[in-house]
Amino acid sequence: MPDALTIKIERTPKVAEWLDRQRQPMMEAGADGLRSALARHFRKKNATPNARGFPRSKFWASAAESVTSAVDGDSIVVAVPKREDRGREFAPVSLRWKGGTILPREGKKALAIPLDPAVAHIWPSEHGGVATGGDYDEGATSLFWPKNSSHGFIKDNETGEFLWLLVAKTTHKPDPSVMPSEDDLRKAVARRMRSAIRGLEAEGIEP
Amino acid sequence: MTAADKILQKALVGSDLDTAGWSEVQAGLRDRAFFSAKVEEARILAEARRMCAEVADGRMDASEFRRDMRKVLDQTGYQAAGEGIQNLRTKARLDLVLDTQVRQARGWAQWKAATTRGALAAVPAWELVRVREVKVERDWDRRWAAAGGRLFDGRKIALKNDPVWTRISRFGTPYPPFDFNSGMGVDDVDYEEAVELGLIKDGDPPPKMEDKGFNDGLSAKLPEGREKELDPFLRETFGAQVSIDGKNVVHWNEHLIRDMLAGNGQMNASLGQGKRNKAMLDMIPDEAMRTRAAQTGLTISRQWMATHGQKHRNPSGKGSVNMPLEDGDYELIPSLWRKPDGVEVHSENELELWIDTLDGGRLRMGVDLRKGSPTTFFKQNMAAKAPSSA
Repeated sequence: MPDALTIKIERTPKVAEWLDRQRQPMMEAGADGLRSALARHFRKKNATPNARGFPRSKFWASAAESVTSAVDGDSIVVAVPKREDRGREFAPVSLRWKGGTILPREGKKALAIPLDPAVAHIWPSEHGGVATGGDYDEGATSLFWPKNSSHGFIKDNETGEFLWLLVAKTTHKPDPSVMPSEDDLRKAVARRMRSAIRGLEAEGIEP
Repeated sequence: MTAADKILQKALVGSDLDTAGWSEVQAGLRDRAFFSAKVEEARILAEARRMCAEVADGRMDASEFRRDMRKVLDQTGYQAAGEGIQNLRTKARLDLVLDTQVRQARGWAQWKAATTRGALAAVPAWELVRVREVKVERDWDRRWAAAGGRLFDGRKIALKNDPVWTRISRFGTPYPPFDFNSGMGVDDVDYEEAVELGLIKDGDPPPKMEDKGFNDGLSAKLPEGREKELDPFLRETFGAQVSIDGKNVVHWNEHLIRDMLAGNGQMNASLGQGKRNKAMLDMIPDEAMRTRAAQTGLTISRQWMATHGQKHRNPSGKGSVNMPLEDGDYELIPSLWRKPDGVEVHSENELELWIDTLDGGRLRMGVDLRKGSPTTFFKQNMAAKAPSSA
């Protein structure tokens, strides 16, 4: 085993200035690399068919498009939009990642889960002609809630088919596959920074 | 600036133009306008713009957007231009409006991050790839080739500053989305790969982007041979928001009203001759007044806005029947002049135009037909009782 060789680089004012000049573009490159890695991961998730064979909600494609990143001092902050409901922050991606309970929106008593592909991504209030531009037809659907049951249904009056399941809440189990591993993300940032060095060298940055 | 800010920065342009008509308008101008085919009503567009920004910010979701937009359409008495996608009440059309606005704004935000000095050094090029499945796939190979794009083993790759990105875009923007429901996006091509492909010579600096801020003035040359046709069309559509110089270059004054409110921009802005505003003229019962209004051009000045704003932004005093004016109310002035909800004749020289706002107010603007300038502008609270005359 050779002895360790340590070379100390003197931080001359010129070297310090050079390092300072490269800090911001390197962080920018890392931030864009992190954003891009996350977006690509979400896009892959979007390629998975809907488990129930329903039309896709494009949830993950939309998450991929909404990822933003920013340099904050020595850190890179990556974010996906979240919303507020009754004073609580509700982050749909984070909810799937860490797990949690989804409650009905304020003013609503139940969550409506579509049971028929024809009503996927449509609210019960949009059914009965509204989604196609007409007025709501009161007689199109009716509520069916078995006595002492924790859940109910919205039924199509014409076909008698149950269109939505109504529940008071639903729980997502934690799913670590929602996010890439921390190691993968670190590698993506490092790879991007290495690539930036080549580009920045080409700009003529030698001290 | 966030994706939501990008949406809120757009100027409201109510117009009877259909999609084909809008495609005639230069892409750069379209990118700075918030419009929807065959929607003339500025109040609908103002609410749609606000809500799209909320969705982009994550404060609202698509189903809430559709629900609240339908309420707005009911309140404004919206009449659909046709069935299906031509009807703004349908899920398909509302989703299209939202999807296009939000995806464009998010595409812009990601493009900004991808074109910083550091990001360009690391990743100087993009590959056009499919990022979403769509029902009917367009022929992107042909479109790419027609726009002058090069293929690398069948892959569509170009430097980020290559004009091909703008050329393949229906919206004239160098970032995705490139068309309605296209499902196409971009993937990164790093410096090393760009060198391997011959896009950059090893050791050459990464591409530079033209640093053009969103608020920078925009101009575009009218296509040769079509000047006579497009000049009046653009003036008619955009009013004072465009000016066309002697060299057939269109200059875009996107923040005409907002800039004037902030004390910047033009000293005076002409909102056009009354003769162009058929909807307004039709509401004037008196023939002679109608003729006078048709011959009048309305001009608003920065000075008027400044003095007026001080007085009407915070109407105080007990029993005030007026509501405070906001920037958004001033943005409706061109719509008031073009297409009011009602017109009252006050004297032989003065008309009062009004438009109902969605917050329960009624914007009223008096117009002096001799001077061609506003006399009054305020928002009446329609829920408040009028003060007793006793």
